[in-house]
Amino acid sequence: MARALTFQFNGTDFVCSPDKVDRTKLYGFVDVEALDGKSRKCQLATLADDGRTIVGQGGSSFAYLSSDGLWLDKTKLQPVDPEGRTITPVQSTYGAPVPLTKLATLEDYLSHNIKGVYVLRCEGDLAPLAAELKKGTIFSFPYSFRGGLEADVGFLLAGQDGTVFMCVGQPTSIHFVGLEQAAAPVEDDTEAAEGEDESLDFGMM
Amino acid sequence: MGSINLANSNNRDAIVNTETVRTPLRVRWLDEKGRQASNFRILRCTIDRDCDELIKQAGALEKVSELLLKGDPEIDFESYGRFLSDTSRVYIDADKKIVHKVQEWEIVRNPDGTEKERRPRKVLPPNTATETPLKWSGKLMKKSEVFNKFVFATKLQIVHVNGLTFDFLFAMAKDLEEKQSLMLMGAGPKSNLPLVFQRGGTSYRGFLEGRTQGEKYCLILHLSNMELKAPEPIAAPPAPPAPLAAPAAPVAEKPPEPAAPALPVKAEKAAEKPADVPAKKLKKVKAEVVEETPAEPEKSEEKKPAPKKGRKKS
Repeated sequence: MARALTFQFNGTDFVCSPDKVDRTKLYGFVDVEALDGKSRKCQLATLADDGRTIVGQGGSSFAYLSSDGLWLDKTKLQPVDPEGRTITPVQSTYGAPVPLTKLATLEDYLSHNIKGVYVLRCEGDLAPLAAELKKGTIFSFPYSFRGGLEADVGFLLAGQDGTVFMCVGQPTSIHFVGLEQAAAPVEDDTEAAEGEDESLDFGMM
Repeated sequence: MGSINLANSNNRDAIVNTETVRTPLRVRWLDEKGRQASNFRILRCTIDRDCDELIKQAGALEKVSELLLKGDPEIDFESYGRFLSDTSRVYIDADKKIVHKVQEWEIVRNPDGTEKERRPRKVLPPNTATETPLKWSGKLMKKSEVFNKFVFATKLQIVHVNGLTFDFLFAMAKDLEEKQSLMLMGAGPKSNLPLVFQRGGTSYRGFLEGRTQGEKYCLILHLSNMELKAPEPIAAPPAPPAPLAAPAAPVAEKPPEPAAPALPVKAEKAAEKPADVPAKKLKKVKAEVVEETPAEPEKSEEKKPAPKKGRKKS
């Protein structure tokens, strides 16, 4: 049973269970099977840079090291933003009712990358909320499944057939561009150019 | 930063740049002394010492614990914990040896997991920055009608590379903004193929949006590979035959019969839809949204069995 999410709209609580929707459920999916010369199934693995160490699934992990190269326990580390300000973790959205007070415009919604879609199943009567959403209203709220460093943006909207969806998105950095802001070569290109300089062949001149 | 070959409504094309607009949370982790911690990928286990190998050595799973008590067969002290970088993905066979020549097959499955088709793997080439520009399709969809029709999973911002392309893109953005619409973008000579940005990458439907602010513009290519709709309920497997209760038999027989053929047809329709079979989807969108002419279900129904005959089925 999915965790219940409570929305507050016009003084009423709507207890909903979100059901994830993805391509697999809508259209099916494609498995890739690799066979060797004898038609036996092969599996993917990772080959280390020495060219002989083979690492299977789950054979690697991430570790945090200090500047001295010493092992650090992640639970004792403090997250900060690039400017060094402490990041305050957010709570799970499932922990408390979500007031639906903030409206999002079409442009707001279209400015987010939607990374998760859920159909909302409500035990009670969702009709008052659904009626509002069918008008084209989009509600937005901070969304985090289990809490964490940053909340995503949840959008509540009605699909074409009136089904209520919760779309979870991430803001993007789309911005207006003027003439003077013509695309400049990115840092990576500069690095590549530097690399090319080193390999210049003066003998050809 | 990538590039894209775009044509405007006058069929003039230009290669311009694309920018990713994702904003991943940039977190730095500090240790107790306020010094920055660095993140490394390290080796934890190799396949010659994994669980299967230990079972082989011990003779049975129950005996592995004895093996672990006696020594450290699961740890290679020389290599475990070392940094992993510049790794490669390889295929290994049942003997855990690298296979250099493999045949890759795609197994297309229905939403319920049943196999629908088996075919050699197709690796799609990129088609957005080729000699053939992405044409100005003119297939416009009102923002207010399309926002809840597709899931816009990601997007790219299209930016100019010089003064000429600034005018080119600004005019496009202005045009789209005035129409308050997104324009369907497709690849290929007929603009009916999904967009593929890198070899073997995900294929998407593209929707171009334009915004302007004074002398500035914002041209966004929304990418979608999914419609915003609830999945069809998957039919329960057919009920087992009723034991001996004779009167119950007709009741039990009836429901499975229509349910069984209904699922594959629906699932097939769905699986053929978005990025996988582009032309059909494009036709559907065209019919439903742009030209507002009714779709032709009979025609598409007729077309479906034809390619099916040629497909391999397991």
